[in-house]
Amino acid sequence: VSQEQTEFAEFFESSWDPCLRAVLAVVGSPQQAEDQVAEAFARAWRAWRRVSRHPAPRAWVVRTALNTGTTWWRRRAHELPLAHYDAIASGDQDGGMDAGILRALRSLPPRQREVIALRVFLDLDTGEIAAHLGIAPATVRVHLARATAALRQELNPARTQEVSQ
Amino acid sequence: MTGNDAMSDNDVLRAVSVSVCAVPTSSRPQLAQIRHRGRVQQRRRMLPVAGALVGAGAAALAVTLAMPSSHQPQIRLDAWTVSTQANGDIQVTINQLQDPSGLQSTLRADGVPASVTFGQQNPACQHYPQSGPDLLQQVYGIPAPGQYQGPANAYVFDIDPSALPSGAGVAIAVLNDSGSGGKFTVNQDLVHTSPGCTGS
Repeated sequence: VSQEQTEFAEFFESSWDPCLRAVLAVVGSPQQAEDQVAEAFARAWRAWRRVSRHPAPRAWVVRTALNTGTTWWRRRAHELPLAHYDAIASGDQDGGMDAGILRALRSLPPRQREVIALRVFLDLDTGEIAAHLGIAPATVRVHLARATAALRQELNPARTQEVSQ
Repeated sequence: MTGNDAMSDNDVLRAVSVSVCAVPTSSRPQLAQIRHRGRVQQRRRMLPVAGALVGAGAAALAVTLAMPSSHQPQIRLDAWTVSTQANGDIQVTINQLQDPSGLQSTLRADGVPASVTFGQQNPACQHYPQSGPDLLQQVYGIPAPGQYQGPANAYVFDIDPSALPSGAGVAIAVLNDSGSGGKFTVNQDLVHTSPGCTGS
């Protein structure tokens, strides 16, 4: 087994879950997230020499998975409807995610969702997120502030209800 | 206590984390499957389409198909290629949308109950009801290959015959997406075996 294979195996073992959670937070569907993350890891293996030198390989996988998703949705729009042949594409269920959280996440713009995902699940700091997304740290802070404010607005009614019961 | 007082920024992020982590997910794919998928992607990137996706070529096809496929480690055609891998997987490369019945016959001769159609679905096929994503991934690789391949590259996928449940076959339908600039939809699914669909 080459060193390259060993390194990738370790990366895959340690990174699958956090990457999956990050992508799941953005796309909302477990099945879709799993497919996209698997595809992204396959691409990471294909380009492992380059990805292994990336400052944040997990973030590379998440970004690739989300780009795959964008392409997938764009492609899906071109598909013909096929009776009885839609099993692969059916993956829009929320899979048990808290309805309030899901609604709150879906209400966010995609970039804000991605910033949240990178912060929460990959534990990247503001500078790392900024470098990865190619935006200014101040912009990351704005996205985070707006996202948490919007999430708080969505989440608090449910919590208030729980307290009053 | 007001609602806004109830949750700090950290509370909000923690709530997101807890909720997302509570979502049940399937087991992690095998590393070997990920690597295999990566190799397939690599091959796909390297294989150019041999000409347009329409045209002749039936003569070469007929000649090559006259050779018994079971004695051929690899059958190479202009339109498509079927080869048996060392691990028993059958690799299919579609370069041109020609002679689906020939491809179908070759797969069947290699022991895969198959329906292959270009331009339409096989109306005799019935979706295999347990073909969820896990089973599709086992048969076709990780992830279950999608619904599309543009004209810029050949379309390559693998079939693992040993992963097919009893009574199930593969259905491959390549459809032209009207109005999408010559793009194609490749649907790969599992279907019930039947004489009209998979030949047996």
